[in-house]
Amino acid sequence: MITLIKCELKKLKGRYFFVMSAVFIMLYLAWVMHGYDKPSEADLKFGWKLLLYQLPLINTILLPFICSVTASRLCETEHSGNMLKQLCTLTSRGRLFDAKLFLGILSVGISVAVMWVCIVMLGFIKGFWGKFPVDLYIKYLIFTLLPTFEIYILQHSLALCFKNQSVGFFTGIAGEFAGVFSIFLQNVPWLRKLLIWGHYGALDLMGMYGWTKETKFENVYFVTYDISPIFIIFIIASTVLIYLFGRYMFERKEL
Amino acid sequence: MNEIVETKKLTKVYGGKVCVDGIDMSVEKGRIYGLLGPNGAGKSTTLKMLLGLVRPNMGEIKIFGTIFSPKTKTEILKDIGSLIESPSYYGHLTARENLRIYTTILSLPEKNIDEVLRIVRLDGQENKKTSAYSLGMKQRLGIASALLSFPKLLILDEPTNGLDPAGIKEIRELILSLPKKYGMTVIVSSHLLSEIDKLADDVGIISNGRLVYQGSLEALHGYDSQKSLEEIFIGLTGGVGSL
Ligand SMILES: Nc1ncnc2c1ncn2[C@@H]1O[C@H](COP(=O)(O)OP(=O)(O)OP(=O)(O)O)[C@@H](O)[C@H]1O
Ligand SMILES: [Mg+2]
Repeated sequence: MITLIKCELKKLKGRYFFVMSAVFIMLYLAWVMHGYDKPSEADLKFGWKLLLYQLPLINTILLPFICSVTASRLCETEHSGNMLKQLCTLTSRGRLFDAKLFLGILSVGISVAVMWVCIVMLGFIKGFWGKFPVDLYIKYLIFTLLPTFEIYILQHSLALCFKNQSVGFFTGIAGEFAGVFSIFLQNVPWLRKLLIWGHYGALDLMGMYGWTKETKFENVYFVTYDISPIFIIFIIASTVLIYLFGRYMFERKEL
Repeated sequence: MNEIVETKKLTKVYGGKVCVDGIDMSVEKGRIYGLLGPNGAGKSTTLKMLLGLVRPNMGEIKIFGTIFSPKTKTEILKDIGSLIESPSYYGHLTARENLRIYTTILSLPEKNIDEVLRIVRLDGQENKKTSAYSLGMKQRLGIASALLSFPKLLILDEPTNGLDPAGIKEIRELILSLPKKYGMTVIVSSHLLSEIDKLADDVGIISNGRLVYQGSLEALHGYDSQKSLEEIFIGLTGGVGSL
């Protein structure tokens, strides 16, 4: 397994993989931060909570895209050079699947963690009011990583099982649209829970109420949501299922 | 145990069409086995089943005396080198870096890389990205990676594809030397009768998925003393395909 991961690292040479990840992180941060260029008093006053309210939507839009491109980037060389039929005779397919997945998960996991650190730093640098709500932000980090891993495993399976990378790409884009859609459909909460791309929204920790065009932040109040442990177990179980199914499909794939 | 590969009723169906039809193939140790057949006969599909790349619908495969199954597969494949259809490579890496992926997985020494690069005569080109290789050079790299572990069994599917006449001769001489030099058993497929005639000890002729002849090359020559080898081949395969 370690050997296979080493091989994966060797294959990255000259593929600008880390540059790509860095670009994604910057894109994400630029998106988040442009709203805080010239923060209003309300922005600063509600800063920590406001961010937690805004980020799940941004995550739903950007992270699935990052997952899909990362997975495709890691897997496409195997297809374009007909390498799978060699690799699959050199080592077990399951391990091959795992080694590549490990690298991808590590990459998106680190990216999400870096984004998180930068966002927290943003809050401190801009001088958000009040104490930094550590436990909420740690919860938020975990609740961002969970759906990211879930989506990444799906994208990885598609990128490895289908020679045609647009299968994964279009699944990712379609899922992403559905995910965004599900966030705006406030009165059908189950949709968010069922769609893996809706899980960022379903794991939302902060609700904002009382905002209108006229009164703006005057009457605004925030509500912290509790997430049911059963739903978290559901997410973990569906992640494991996607993994087992993807791995099974790859093991059965004819080359 | 003299049988390196033995298949029984090996069958593959693609979308209702039987593409490999109950093949009983038998390859003996230290021999060069030529799998001959017209385009679409089922050569590549048969070889892919031997490598576990394609799952048979029916039948049994025994390699090195062990029945091929999901459990025994990895162990068996360790001793097989292969080149199936188009060669495999990472275009963004050089030949040496490509081969290093294999040596890392198989924990082979770096000197094997030098040796196979020399054998296929790529030693002057090893630091060029393989995406810039010509078809023939890629084919040579494919042969190099198949040879890299100096396996007990070498499976080459149309290995001279894309090579120039001098290259074809060179690779032919290389293949001919392998059993004596390294004790390898080789399975080579081709749709060219003349190629198999110059190369093989034993021949299996496959037509429409069926193994219509299996035996030594001499026996094939003596199959019908009135006819040339070409006529015998056309007779066996029903006249379809190219020669
Ligand atoms: N993945 C697949 N799906 C459907 N049919 C397939 C598939 N692979 C092969 N076939 C069919 O199986 C038959 C045998 O194909 P195969 O590639 O084994 O022929 P071959 O003897 O290697 O021919 P060639 O000399 O052209 O390489 C063909 O009719 C082909 O169309
Ligand atoms: Mg073929």
